[in-house]
Amino acid sequence: MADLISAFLLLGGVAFFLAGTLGLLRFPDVYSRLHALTKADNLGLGLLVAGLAIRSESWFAVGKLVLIWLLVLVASSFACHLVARAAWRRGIPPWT
Amino acid sequence: MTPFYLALALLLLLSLTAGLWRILRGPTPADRMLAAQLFGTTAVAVLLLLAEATDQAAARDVALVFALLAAVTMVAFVRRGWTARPGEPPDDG
Amino acid sequence: MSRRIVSFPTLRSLALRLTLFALLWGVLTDGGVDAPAFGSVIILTATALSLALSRPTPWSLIGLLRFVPFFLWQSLRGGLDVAWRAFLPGPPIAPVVLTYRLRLPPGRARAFMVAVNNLLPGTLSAEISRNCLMVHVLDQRRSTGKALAALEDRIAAIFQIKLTSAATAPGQSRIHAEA
Repeated sequence: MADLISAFLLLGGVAFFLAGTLGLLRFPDVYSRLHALTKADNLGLGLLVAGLAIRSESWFAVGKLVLIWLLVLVASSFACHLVARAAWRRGIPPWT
Repeated sequence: MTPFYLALALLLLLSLTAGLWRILRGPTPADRMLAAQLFGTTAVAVLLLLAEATDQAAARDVALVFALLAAVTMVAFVRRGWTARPGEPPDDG
Repeated sequence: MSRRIVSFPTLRSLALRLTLFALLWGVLTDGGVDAPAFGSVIILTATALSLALSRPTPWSLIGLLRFVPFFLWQSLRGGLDVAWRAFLPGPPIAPVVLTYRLRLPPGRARAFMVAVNNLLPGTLSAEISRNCLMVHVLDQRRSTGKALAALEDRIAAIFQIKLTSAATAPGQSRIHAEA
């Protein structure tokens, strides 16, 4: 049962990574691509971490997985803002 | 379960390759940095899957270091390489 | 001149950070049982450094605990929202840049808001200038102003900040389109 839930979460996680890349390729400007990448990849990694944590052998391993997710979360969220701000200050116009 | 993990890792690597196209196309430096962000997150995901597939817990530590490095790289790029202009107002917040 | 050298908040944050770093060390070393002496030195050094480098801020455990499920739910919504847009033909997006007048004061709470905003459905923090947050919105048909005000309330609850102005002043909107 745990294996099934884990497999489901892992598949879901990878699906969101694919969606993020699709958005990166398809969306019209840097701002909307940031939306796609940041939100989809963070959810993707979150699901992946949840799927792996279910099968984890110790609570410390779960802690490490969650720590990795939080680090990536903080990094990509601030990175997202910094790239958007840099683009905005450069006067790159948003697609409308 | 090992082939399943490896298949997922392969899918992520394919998605990473697709991201390379955005680096080549640009058109702005910000778009290229976006692909770097994609690389950071996806690399962490691939490493976590490989750690599970090969039963090498050390790969998780590599993922941890990648997560830290991704943060530093992004901030270094945005603060030094691209936006540094004289007379820029200091950050609040 | 106060006779009390260590005040209560400092003691509280000392205990808190000590616990936090001990947990972190445990997570990093799978329990930290191999080298307990070395681990203790690391944990104490990290706690001392963190107290020296960053002042304790008031925060509320209840506010934080209430924020976590909200954040997870919004992350899920944000990911789903952007994923279906990426898959559909078009893709169906109608971006606009809005200006939101922040009620949170500059500092950690505001930085927190800027970061979390990027993970909420359809919003992206583009710039802060003069107490205004410029938000890139993926779909302008969404009511972004209310969502931002709600987020601000939740963050204020974590950092124990009293927001000065009302969420919606009559006849005046907190949010308007960038000219």
